Amino acid sequence: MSEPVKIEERTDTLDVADAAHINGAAELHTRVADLLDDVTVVTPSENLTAATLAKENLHAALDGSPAASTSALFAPQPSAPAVTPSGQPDTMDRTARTVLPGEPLVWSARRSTGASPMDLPPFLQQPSVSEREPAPTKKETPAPASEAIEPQPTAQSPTPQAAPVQTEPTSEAPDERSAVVANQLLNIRGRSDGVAIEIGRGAWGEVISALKERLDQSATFFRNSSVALDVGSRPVIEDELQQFANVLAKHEMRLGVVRTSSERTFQAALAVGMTVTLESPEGAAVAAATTATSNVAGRGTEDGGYFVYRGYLRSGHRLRRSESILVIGDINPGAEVISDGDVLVWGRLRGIVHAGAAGNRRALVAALDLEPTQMRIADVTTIGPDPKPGQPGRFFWRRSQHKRPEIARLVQQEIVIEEWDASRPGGFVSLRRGAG
Amino acid sequence: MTGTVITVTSGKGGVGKTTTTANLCAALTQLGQRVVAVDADVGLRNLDLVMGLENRIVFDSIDVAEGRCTLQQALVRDPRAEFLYLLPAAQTRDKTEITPEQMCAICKQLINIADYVLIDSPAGIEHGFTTAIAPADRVLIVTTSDVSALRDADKVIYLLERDWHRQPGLVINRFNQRLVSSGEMRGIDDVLDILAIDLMGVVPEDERLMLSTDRGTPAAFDRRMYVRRAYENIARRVMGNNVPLTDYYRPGFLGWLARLFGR
Repeated sequence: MSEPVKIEERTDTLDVADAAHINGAAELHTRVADLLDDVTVVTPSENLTAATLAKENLHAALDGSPAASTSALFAPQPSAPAVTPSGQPDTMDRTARTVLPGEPLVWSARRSTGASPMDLPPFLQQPSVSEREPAPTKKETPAPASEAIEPQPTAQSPTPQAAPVQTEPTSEAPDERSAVVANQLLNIRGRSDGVAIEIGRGAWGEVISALKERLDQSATFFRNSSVALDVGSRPVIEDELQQFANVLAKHEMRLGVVRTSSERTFQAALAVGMTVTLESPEGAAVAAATTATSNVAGRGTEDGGYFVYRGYLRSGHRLRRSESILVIGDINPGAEVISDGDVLVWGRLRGIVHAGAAGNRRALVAALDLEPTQMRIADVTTIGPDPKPGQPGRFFWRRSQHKRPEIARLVQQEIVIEEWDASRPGGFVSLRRGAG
Repeated sequence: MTGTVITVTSGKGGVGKTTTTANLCAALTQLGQRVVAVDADVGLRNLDLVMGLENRIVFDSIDVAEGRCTLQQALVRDPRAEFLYLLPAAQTRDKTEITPEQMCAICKQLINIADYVLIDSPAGIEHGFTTAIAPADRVLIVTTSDVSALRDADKVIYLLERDWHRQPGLVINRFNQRLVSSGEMRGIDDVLDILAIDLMGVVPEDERLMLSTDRGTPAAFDRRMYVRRAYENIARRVMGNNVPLTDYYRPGFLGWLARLFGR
């Protein structure tokens, strides 16, 4: 089993790495330590947002544009970038912020690199090194007494496929991430507590067949081990996860935990009853759910993922998520918040809100100041009250006077709004249990 | 030496962008600043009327952009001020005929001669808005306190934060303290409560202001106008001075008595 495994035609660096992995040989770690310096991690601050870039280009284009040469005005045209009215100094200031106001917490690192994974079809998505969880291998495996190893406190996953020597062009559009993107279909490594499988790129069918091939070759080695599956930022649907688990079961292995940084995968794993951890691209665990807490398939939407939005939702802003939404800030009139789960607002809710948009009649809407223009739960719609004669303007522009937090839910085809009872034991969860 | 480009915008039409631009220009020149006003409302130009410079216009910004004249030729000098120029927009052309790049190029030349370049943005959030916002270092949003203006201002703030990463300042125009005191209209606090951006100033409603724009004399030039003070305060805040907000609350007789006795 120590012989190189041929998966595809691109095997030159792969063979060594794979063989080393399966053996757990010390030489891999020396390679990894060498590679660590060369791995470029894409951080959000290094990536200019689209608007900033556009603006940059705008100003950059000025020096050579015909419009600029139409008139030499009173003073000669300085070309130093520091003199641009709003170009450089502003840009530096803007890109220094990693999380903009109004940018969701979970997705902050990814949004600035372009389209979010939700917008891309699965085959276009590439997991980048920064989006993968840090591999715990370096700490758990006994460190070989090699002079090449340096202490690396930031354990970014140094997958061997990230070798800088690999110059093979990728099929996707070349960007700075493609140099460090996994070129393998999957990567199996032994650990003290089981087997870690990382999924690279490629169609899921190929991944599965590669897995079968690899497990067939080394069946006895992995028998009865628990597998930690790391899918990175790749969105994996329920059937695919189930297929993966079936293959493992056939080889007398069991799927222990699924690690992902994709919301979609997180929900899928919950739905098929797997233990799953959702991690932010930086590697910190955002949410963890086990089969014990989500006893019903589908409860995942209610109890599992929360999409956190921090900042103002202004007029014209539309927020649509499949998971529950927590807004820390105000929702102004003209904004729309739509969720398949609950909508919780730590602030004022004055726009249009739709909870349980996929038909979940047990969805809740709660806000510190609940005055929506229009509120929908599942298929029931209600509108806000008309302004009282003496009050200034429309109700939703009124400034709240000592409002109490309120919670809205469906009781027999009607949306019932009640004041939040702070003395209720169990809080939010108890209310959900009583509803329906 | 470089100046600052400030775009005055609102989203909704008719809330007083042009009036604010003209008066803010006048107020800034009276404070010793060198100011150029740029009309970005191609096709519906108004700024020249409000500033009373209509008959002096020969060339416009599109002529500059297309190279038919120099920028120096197109600038119209205001004779009432020491250094106040207007770059007019074309009345016979369309908004799409000047690009954001060309606007940036023009403003980049203007900041070499002026301390402040004020751009009067057209209403709406389409091409003309983009053209007006592109060169801006700072953005002022003008709004009245009625719902439709607030809703539009809110949308513009959202667009500015999303696409341009700008935190605009707010000017509340046509503020009517009498209606606010009687509880029929939103006050300053309510407006700020909704929009949640920095307040740059409040301009009280004044019928004579409408007459002054009609005559083509910005109120800031007219020493008899009380509202001149409001624009002067905004200009000082734009220049970075800390000016306390004017309290337009006028107590009645009983309130005056109460204030007299220290209540």
